[in-house]
Amino acid sequence: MARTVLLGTPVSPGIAIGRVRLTHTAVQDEERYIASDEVETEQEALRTAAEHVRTSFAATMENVPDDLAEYGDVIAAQMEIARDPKLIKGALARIAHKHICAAWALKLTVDELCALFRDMDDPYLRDRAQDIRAVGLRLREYLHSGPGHKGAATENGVLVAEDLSPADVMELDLDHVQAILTAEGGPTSHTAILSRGLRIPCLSDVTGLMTSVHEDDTLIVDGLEGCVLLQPDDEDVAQYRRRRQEYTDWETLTLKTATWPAEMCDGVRVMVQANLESTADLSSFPENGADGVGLYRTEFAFFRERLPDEDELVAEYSEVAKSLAPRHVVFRTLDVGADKMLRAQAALNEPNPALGLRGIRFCLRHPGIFRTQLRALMRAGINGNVSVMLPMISTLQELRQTRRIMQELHQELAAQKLPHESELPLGVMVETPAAAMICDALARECDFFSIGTNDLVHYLMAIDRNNRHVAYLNEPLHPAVIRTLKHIVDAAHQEGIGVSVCGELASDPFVLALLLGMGVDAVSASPRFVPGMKHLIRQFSAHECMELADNVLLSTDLTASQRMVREKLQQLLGRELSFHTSSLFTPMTS
Amino acid sequence: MDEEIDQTPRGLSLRVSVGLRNGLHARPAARLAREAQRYSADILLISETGEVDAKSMLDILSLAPPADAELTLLANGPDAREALQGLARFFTNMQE
Repeated sequence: MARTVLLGTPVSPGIAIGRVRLTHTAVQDEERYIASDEVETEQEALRTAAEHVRTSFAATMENVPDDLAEYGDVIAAQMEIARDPKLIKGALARIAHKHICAAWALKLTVDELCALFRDMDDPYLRDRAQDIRAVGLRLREYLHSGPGHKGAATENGVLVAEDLSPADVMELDLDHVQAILTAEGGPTSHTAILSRGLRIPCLSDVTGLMTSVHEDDTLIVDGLEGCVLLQPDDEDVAQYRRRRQEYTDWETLTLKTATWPAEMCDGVRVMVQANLESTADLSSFPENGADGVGLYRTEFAFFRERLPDEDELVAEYSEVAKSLAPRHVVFRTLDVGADKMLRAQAALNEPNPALGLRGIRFCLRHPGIFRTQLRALMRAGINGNVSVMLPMISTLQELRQTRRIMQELHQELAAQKLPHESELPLGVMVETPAAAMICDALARECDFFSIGTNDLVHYLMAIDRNNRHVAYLNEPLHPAVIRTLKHIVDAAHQEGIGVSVCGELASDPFVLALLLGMGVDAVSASPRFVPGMKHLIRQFSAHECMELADNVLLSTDLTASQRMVREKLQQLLGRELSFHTSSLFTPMTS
Repeated sequence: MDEEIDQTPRGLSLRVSVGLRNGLHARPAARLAREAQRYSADILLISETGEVDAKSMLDILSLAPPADAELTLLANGPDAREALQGLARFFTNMQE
């Protein structure tokens, strides 16, 4: 039997075999012209729907679980959209002027508003299109089937939706959701983030989804390769059951062996560390098996109503240091700028903040904030496992100035008789081309290097990460990137200091193999990747990685480099390769 | 405060500055729209880039005024003066 395969973006790994549960009724959308005497009825139906949707949002707001609190804001914003005159009055006017039914009028209004927001320069505003669409879907669903909201599936099944809002996801009875498929979304959508957190396989941007699946159809979701099999035959089902078993076994194995050392076949050991956002992430220890924290982001505390005081910071940093001891924790000093800004920074209104007063530049300009943070770190340093790392370094001066400040603070703290560590290891985050070019000099004056791959690639390739027109240049295997990485690693080792890599790329098997081949001492990634990375590393040998890295370093042809790495990894890992998340290549189906 | 409100041919007008660290993003925009909805007067929010309905969060967002923008509020209707006074208080409170 000819079967249909739909392709999508895998945003949460895993495999599921199940029946379709449509959430929204978008498929059967009504597009009907109405008579003059129906205008009033249709308008009333829309008003009722809007009122109902607002009430149901309000109810959901009450029940937002603690770990999803950040989504409360999103729901509040959607509640406001559900009462927005631009949306509601716009649709009401369309009903009257065009003599069309409420659902159709609403669809046209939503499309118009989404188009308006999608074209905006500000990525924040672009994302609001997602909220408008979510509200539109809710309203249309109510118009179609009345108060019985079907979002809360009670039977096992694969959830299929045009898109899901956080409110939808929160209303789900997750025990019954085997997988999620959406026609829109993308790897950074709410649905993607939530499904990964909940370990539910999920594909977004599935082409042709809404027109080719029907309620109760059986299908197979392959969240590893990024495809959906419609009308699978017995053989398909059997094959995917085996594959699912393989994946589950692999996942169980990596979790069970997470605390084993990451030692390669020939005895070379590397550290695999975790990147943490806040104290909330501490709960993933010690199960994730991470050898400490390679990057603790300190921005969280600075985005509350007021700036944190020293004692609050000491409490936070000490909690992290104490709960992870004897493992090591690298605290990155305040790195505001590119994504998030403090008031002082936003006031500058920089046209290109990624190249502006961010990271160490901002801290040295605002010594009050910087000194408070450094004092807190020195005081938390008495736990003996604290290091400090400086982001966005581009001159030797910035490092020296920070050292001088820390010496002053040591005297201050000593005079105040406050216990503290005066000799905290001080590292440089190498993420600007300038730092990469002077890394020999930096290495002589700091205690360790950490390579921030995301920013380094953007700055090296001269691309703006929000600009999709140049996204194709975001290519970590580009010879410029590979040579720079090697240069930094060698400079560190020349001066006898350690070097770690703490960008997202560290969890990518292709890049990981090359980094190991260049001889990095540690890699640091999101906690959920750590068990898989350790398992992967144990199957590599330092010798083979080195040979691969040497070959790639000699290559000036990107495509050839990619082929070399892919072939080697296929040979080493086989099917396991597709169990890992890689932004670089779509794994090849075998 | 009353002396800051001007009578113009298009209605009562008042200049306000945004002064929010991230500009008028979703939360403040939603609160501003809510406040405006309390009055029956028609209220326009005017910036260098355009004029929008102050009762619509989406409209306010689409105006995307920068954090340090100066805006003009224009109100027409029976409670226009109360509306402008209320919104002026709202902007002052938001900045604190």
